[in-house]
Amino acid sequence: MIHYVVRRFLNLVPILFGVAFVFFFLFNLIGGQKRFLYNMLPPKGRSVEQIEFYRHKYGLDKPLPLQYLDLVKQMVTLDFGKSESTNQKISYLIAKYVPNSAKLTFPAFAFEIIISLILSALCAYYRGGPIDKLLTVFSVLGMSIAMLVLIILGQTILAYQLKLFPISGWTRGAGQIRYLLLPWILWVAVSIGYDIRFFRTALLEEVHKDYVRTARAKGVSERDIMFKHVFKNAMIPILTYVVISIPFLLTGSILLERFFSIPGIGDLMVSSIFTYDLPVLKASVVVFTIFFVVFNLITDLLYAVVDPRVRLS
Amino acid sequence: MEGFRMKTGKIGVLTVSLMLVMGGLVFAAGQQAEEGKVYNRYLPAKVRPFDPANLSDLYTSTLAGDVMEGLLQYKYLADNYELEPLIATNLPTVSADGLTYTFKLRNDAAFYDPSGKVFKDKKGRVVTSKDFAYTIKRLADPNVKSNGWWLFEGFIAGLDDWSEAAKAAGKADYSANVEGLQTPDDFTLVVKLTKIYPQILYTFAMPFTYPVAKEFQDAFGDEWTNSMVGTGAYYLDENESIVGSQYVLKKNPTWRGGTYPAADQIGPKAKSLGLDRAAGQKLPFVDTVVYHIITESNPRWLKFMNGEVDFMAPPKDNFASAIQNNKLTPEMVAKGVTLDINSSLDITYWFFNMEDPVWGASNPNGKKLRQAVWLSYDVAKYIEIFDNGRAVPAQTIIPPGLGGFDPAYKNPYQTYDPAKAKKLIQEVGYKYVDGKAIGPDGNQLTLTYEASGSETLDREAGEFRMKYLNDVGIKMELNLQDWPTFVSKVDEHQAQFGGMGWGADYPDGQNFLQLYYGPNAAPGPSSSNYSNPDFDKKFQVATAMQPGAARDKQYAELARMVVEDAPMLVERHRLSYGLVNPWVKNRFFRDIGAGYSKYIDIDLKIKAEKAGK
Repeated sequence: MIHYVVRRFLNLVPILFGVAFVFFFLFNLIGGQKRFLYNMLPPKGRSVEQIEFYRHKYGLDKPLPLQYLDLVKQMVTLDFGKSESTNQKISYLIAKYVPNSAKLTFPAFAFEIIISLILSALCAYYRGGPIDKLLTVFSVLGMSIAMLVLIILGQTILAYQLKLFPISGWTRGAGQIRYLLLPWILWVAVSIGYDIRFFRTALLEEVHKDYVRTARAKGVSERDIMFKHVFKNAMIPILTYVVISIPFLLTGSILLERFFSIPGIGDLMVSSIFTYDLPVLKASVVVFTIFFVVFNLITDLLYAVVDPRVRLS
Repeated sequence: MEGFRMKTGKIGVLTVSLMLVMGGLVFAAGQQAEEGKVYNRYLPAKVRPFDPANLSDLYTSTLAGDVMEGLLQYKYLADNYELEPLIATNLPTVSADGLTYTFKLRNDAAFYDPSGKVFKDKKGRVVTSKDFAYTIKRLADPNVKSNGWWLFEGFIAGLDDWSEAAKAAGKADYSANVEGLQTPDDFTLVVKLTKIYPQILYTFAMPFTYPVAKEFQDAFGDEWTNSMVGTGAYYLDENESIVGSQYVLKKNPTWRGGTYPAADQIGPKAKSLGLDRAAGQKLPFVDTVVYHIITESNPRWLKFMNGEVDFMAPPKDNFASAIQNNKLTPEMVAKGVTLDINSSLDITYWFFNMEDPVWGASNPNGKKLRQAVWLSYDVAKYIEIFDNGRAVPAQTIIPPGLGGFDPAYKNPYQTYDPAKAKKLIQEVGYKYVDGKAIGPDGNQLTLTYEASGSETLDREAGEFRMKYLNDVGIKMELNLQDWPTFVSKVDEHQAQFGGMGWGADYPDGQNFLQLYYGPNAAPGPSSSNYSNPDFDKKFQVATAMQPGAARDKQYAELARMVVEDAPMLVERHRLSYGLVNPWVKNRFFRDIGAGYSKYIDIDLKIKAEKAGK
């Protein structure tokens, strides 16, 4: 197991090389250099000298292969310098913003999964019945409504008209929960539709298998069938679904962060795209890559725990 | 079955209970009560570093202006934009030849350092003339890459040479003497110019010249631009501020003080609005100024309606719910909101690249083609549809409110006349075939319009313009792109024509007329690369004159002079619409300058009655 884990972490290096290459290729393909340089310039008082100053400052006057190696070095050493927009160290920004995003998405995700599992279990148990049908309709409805619509409705009705939640904002300490409640609710509302549909399918696939019929014939209780057998076997696809979603938790909260004025990494990433803040863009790509690789590894490790047939080698 | 139901039920009850408990805890804490008088403002974008040398960003400089101060400021309640001393004791004395400006500084304008890291007792030393000399040198430092340098380049004796020496050496020598920046004593600053430049006075009210305490830079290193040490009525409370979310300014306990304008300093307009009630009273009135970063318009609007933001410009999507026919809706009136409409000192225009072979200066037919495009376009309709009527068609480049603006002048091309447009097109050799303007080469007249923007509204605006050109037989290709790509095309003289805007840096018509000045060709502010030696000569003479009726006359003439040549289609001057909550007192519209929060008062009684209702 340890060898497996070490090997997977070592794989990160060539993955980062590859990511760096794709990033570098795409960045130059879309004329990113020029866009980046011109974005450094003020709307008034631009000069050719300023363009050359920034070109040199960011090593963009070096030959392309050297620029690529610089990028790889930055990605491997995790040293991206400062944000061009805010002049703050990127490590500082990440340390500040990632926890905010995590506070927004992780609890919401946890609620989402718990509620979805309960509801999908109900669907699977009462399959074909009124509860199943009602929940299916509810799921499709949830899948049909865009997050943006829910945010606007949530802020307008729940926050402004009914004054149940703050409209937007942020603070320090425990008071943050006040500002997170409505975003959490909206997150869950928009996500559980997809989850219920998927989990329900995964559970139903197991419920119809021969071993369940056999267990029932042998007199095993429905509770034991559901929780000892069906759930456990359905866990593999469910686990994959859940764990693969986790890296996206950081980037998937962009709308919520922007509309609720929560200073998070998602908003920072999007802002860096619009402002061509190259150091932040690079850092965002690397952070996301590392997260993805780590959570892929966790998925594989959890497989081995959940399914004894799986051997990591 | 029973067991399953029970288990699922237990988990469900547990989850719901947990949520209710959390909600209860949160609401038990209640709304965070504001302490004292709080002035709630918003910024629609994130702030940038607080380096005065690069404070060109409107939002950052608005915030910084409440903490930092310059030598001069604009009189808050004057009808026009008049300067008055701030850290200076008086307006500078100007030598007879107009080249030497001597400032005397107050001896009680002290830096305040809330962190105590720079000045151990938090109340720092007083600002000296050396601080201002240092600050101005920073603008010329090639390693600082100030975006305010263009205002000073070529004007201060010895400063350009100092900058060149810094470039050659790779590092600036701040101890080196600059002839044009003399500090004979701690409270005297002498600025010597290379040529007459009356507009330099305004630069001393601009954020670029806010003094920087060198000790502050040394103490914080590269991170110094993330904070502020200023001399103003407020300081940045970093403990309560949250980067990217809100910036909290608190009353500066060591501020030397100031007073609301005296009655004789208040103009008729401000008096008519009852803004003289607080004449002569001690400043500031509010204890705290909070700048909320709210990038999206919907939550911004809701927070205003809920009384969490004290004033705002109504977003386009909510405009009709607040304003109908330039009057407040009953809902707004019931809330006690007031509507403030003012002219902005700005212009939007289309530039025509005078180096373009199709219609540039080298093409004898170019002028008529440019005039034809102007006549084909209905500016009033654009304003009606895209601005909700919040603009006026421009007659010349100088906006209302500035010297050189002639309210009686009617631009002969600022009129929708497609028939005349077609006539002009035909006069230069195009024939109409099936409604298309076909040139001698058999091809339809095709022009490419460059614009920046990625939103649906930008595309709709471009297609709106396209329709008018199509109506006179011109095929217009719309090229929508991001700002950096657009700007690079303009700077490289590759854009045939496109849309631009310009807001006043200071209240002088020169700031707008320079958009026609030959040496200012792109990457300078003249996107059209217009070159008219006669205009240039008259521009140099007029802009060296002191403000007054004689200069205004010259400016007006210059603005009219270029109309016939049509290097630009001057489109519109926008109007600023502000909605103000009823508890906000003393607010007066200012399009230029910063540091006005100190004049604002909040009526807590009205706020308690009205906010959020």
